[in-house]
Amino acid sequence: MGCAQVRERITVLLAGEAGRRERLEIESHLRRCGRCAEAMSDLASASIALDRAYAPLRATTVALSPARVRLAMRLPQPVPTGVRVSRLTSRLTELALAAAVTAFAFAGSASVAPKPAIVDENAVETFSPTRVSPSFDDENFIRWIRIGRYAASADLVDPAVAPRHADDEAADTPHERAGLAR
Amino acid sequence: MTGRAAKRASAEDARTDRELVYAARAGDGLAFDALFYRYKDGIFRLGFAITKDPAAAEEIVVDTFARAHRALARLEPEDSLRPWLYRVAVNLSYNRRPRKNVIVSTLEDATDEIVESGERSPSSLAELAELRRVVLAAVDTLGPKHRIVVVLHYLNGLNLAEIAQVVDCPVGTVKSRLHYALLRLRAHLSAHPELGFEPGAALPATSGRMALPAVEPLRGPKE
Repeated sequence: MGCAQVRERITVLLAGEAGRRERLEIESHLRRCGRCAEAMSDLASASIALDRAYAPLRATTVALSPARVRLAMRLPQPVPTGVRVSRLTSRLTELALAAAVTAFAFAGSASVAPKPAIVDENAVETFSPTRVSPSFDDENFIRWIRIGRYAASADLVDPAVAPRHADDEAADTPHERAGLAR
Repeated sequence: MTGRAAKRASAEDARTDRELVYAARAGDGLAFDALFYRYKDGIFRLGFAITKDPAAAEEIVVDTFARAHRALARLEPEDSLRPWLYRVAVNLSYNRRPRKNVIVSTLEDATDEIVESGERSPSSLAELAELRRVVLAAVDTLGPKHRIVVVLHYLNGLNLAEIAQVVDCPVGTVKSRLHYALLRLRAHLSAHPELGFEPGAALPATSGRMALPAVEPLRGPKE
């Protein structure tokens, strides 16, 4: 292998794509030819520098969900079979709960604020019977169930801070929620 | 959590890109998701290296996969879908107008913002930062054709043949562009002797490639 050939193949060698035989030929040339060895060393140092410079970025990941793609394309979000069943069940439960609670509100005394049937540990503090106004009616109740499952009326719920339903499958990380909301 | 379980399953989907494309074409949403999770990070890095804007890079990921979704019917990946996706991502990145009111920083500054620093001593961190500053500034002085070859090889870990597919030119052209880019970078480094890249400092490692790990990590500490 002559100098011209070797110089041409240095890049291939640096890219890790030289075959074993090719590599041995280049190496034996470099041992004999100081100028080619110097050229090799120059390019190798540049290659190593690039490798190091991009190292932090090579480890970067991005928290994106394919839901963003469907959102951008206005496609429906597919729901896996298992989830579909559980979502249906949760809807039914919600509905039954709404019916039961409304019935209770009608039947019971108007001055007694009903306890929430579902208690969200994070939400217990926010739900306080003392904050329930006397005008607490079934309409608010349905809102209570639908919005946060704990806040007595919509006025008490700041949409920005209202927690999502626990079974919101579409977004399971804060990043994705932010992404979906955008 | 069902969503998380599904994500893990799709990230580790053993099917090839070709199988996933066919499944997605037949309406398998999880197959499309698997492709997304397989390539989102690489495309994000590529878009970020070109635009230097993380928000723009995220949009490039979304737009690339939106195009892939629309093209599902005619996609015929021989093996990997990566060259196709990266080609779309490169075009989107270069055709993108810079957002208004966004001051595009240098790649190295922008990287600092999105990369959490590991456990390094301050001095080596400073040296590394200086090296990155000089090297990435040198890459920025290259024309787009040379720059993209460098980014695809050193950042995304594509081999010469894959790069040729992405930029749609013969492998020989990729080699000569990479060679030219390395020579230019070498000249830049000579102007910074404090970085320790004086001639002869780095002797060639003789085994294997010295560029990149072959596997792109799918999940990082940020998730």
